[in-house]
Amino acid sequence: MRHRLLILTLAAAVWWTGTVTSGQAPAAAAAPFTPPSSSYTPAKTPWGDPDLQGVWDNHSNVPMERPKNIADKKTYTDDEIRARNSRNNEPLCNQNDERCAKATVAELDRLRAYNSFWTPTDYVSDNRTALIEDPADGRVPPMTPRAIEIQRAHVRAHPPTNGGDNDAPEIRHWNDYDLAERCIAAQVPTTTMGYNSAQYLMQSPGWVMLAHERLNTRIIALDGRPHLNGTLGGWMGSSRGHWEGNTLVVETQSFTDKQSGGSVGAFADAGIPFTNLRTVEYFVPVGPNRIHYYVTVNDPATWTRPWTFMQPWEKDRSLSYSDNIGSVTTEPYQIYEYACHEGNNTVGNSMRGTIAARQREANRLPDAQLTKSLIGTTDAEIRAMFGAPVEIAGPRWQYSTSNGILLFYAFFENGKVVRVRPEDLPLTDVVRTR
Amino acid sequence: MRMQWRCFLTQSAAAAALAAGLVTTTPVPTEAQGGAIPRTSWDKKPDLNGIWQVMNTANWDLEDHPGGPSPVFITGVWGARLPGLSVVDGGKIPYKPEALAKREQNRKNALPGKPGRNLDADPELNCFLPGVPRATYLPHPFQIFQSPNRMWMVYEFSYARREIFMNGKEEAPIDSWMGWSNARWDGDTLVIDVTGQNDQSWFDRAGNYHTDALHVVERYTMIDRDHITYEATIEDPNVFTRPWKISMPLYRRIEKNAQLLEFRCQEYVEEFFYGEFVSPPRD
Repeated sequence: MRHRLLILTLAAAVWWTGTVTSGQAPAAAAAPFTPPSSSYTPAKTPWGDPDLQGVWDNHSNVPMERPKNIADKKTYTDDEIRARNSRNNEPLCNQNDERCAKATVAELDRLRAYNSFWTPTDYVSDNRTALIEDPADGRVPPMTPRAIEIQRAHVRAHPPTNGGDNDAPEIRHWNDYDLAERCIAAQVPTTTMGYNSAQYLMQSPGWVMLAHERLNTRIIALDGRPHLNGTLGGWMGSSRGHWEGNTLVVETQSFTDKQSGGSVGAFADAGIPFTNLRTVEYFVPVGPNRIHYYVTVNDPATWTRPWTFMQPWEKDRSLSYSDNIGSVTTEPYQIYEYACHEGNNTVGNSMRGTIAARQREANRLPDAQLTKSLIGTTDAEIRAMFGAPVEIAGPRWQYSTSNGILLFYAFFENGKVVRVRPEDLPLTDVVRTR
Repeated sequence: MRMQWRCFLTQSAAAAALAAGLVTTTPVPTEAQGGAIPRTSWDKKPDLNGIWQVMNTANWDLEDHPGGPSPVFITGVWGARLPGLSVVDGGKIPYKPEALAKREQNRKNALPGKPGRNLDADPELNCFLPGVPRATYLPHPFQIFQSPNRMWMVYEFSYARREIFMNGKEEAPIDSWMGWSNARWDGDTLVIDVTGQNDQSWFDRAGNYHTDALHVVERYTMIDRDHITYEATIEDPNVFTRPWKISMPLYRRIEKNAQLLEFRCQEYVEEFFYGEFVSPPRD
């Protein structure tokens, strides 16, 4: 998929998280979860295991938890699904599009002006209202008081980062970014990744290997060997699998606690401790190109009972992508090299940006000499000061240096600037570098 | 100055551990000595499934190299360069004269001695993907997954990995660090044709390099149950006067519980890359 080249703006693209909050539903007595049985029998590998090999996509827009206002509704009707996805079929914004030019900033995201080309919208079909299958209310069971305390402390220390046009917390340290932004790992087990959300499932006698397109490579031993001890399992955990009929069952533990950073593809919020976490994954083949992938999450120190979510996986899909100028490409899903770390300038540049911002703050000029003073000016006035913007994305104008380094954004409503980012850039710097 | 040493140490310590049993000439065990070649049930070809590792110092330098002190003195003998014989057929890599000068420049830049994400340094120092063939002879194990139509190789270093298409003619759609691998069997030898590598990876810590015109043909020949003869023919008309070849044995990791462990080195270079940019908390 061609998006892989765009990892430089990784931080800005991490838009989807499997948000899990501490549910308030009363804890029901939990029977151990077993996945529903499947009558489908897959082909066998030459060595006799069910053959589940191929490229499996789990791209999804189904939330982890069921919204509280539809607590009794497990599935959407076809009409409801169509309505829900209809906005994804609208044409994309571009700078010549009047509809987008008139949009407010808040409307722009809905019009997919920014994130559209990152995020294919052909989700694996799933009419459910939530991924969680157990408990039956589709909500994460309540957390223990101790776990709530640990998680709150984590979030205080590491406020979630955000990108694009939104205000972001100051990045002082690489630890202020989550694991995916640092190109280290995504949580294991992994839910949908927002884009490039597929994995190659490879089998050999005694082994299963999952090559997630983004970040993770998991090697799962099927030969009954013992788990790795302590936290030696690292980011991926120690995974041991076996077959129960046609279902691959994988038990994982011995994670590094650093895995608690949350990130894209996370099933657990940032700050949930991983040290004693144990998961059981069930890969249930339900058709030639479909697996129901169940994950039971268990850590009595964190949750008052185990809970289970399910995502459908679909094999060897043909996907269509449209770009910002509307051309569409269709190709079979192929896992490409992600090489995230190799191109990651986000972390270092953000930290350097913080140093520069603090210096500016220390030598602060009067407001009238800063970009802040542009609020209230008209488009003609801005053009008179700095010339043409390098890009107009709807109501957002972008100014850069002559060699392409972003200087500031100005956001228009009704022909006047209502917001600039950043607000404290000296106007003389803009003139000097353009 | 603190952190690049730590990164360096991690790598050299692993190399030192390997060098304890350094083998410089290759005894060729016969099947009678080492056990019959295992074969797949489906096509009776050699079964390469397993965990493999070199036992040499080619990652320091493909050519002859003497032992030497650590480039960073405070690491003492932990960081010492390990001696080794050339793995190159004929001993020397056939550089064009101007390309040899670039190799010498690379050698000076390999360990910059200052922090930061330095694109002139040895890419291994930055935890960048190693490319092929370097992935094979890094001082780490790697695992081969073989099934009827597909192979994958997963390397412990950074979990670098390759999807290998059997009997396919798929063209590299774009350059990448690990390239694009098409394989076929030549009798009992697995032959992998690797194209589409970018010009960023090096062959070793000694600055041996290539451009994006690199074409590598690897040959994996099992000589008994636990040994593979690995050969790679390397061609890059921008850099070399002719194709040249490296060869070395791969050893099966025969420990009962052998497995790849995580070496996600991205995390190990964060202080090295970013340490100088940390801002203190606000009051």
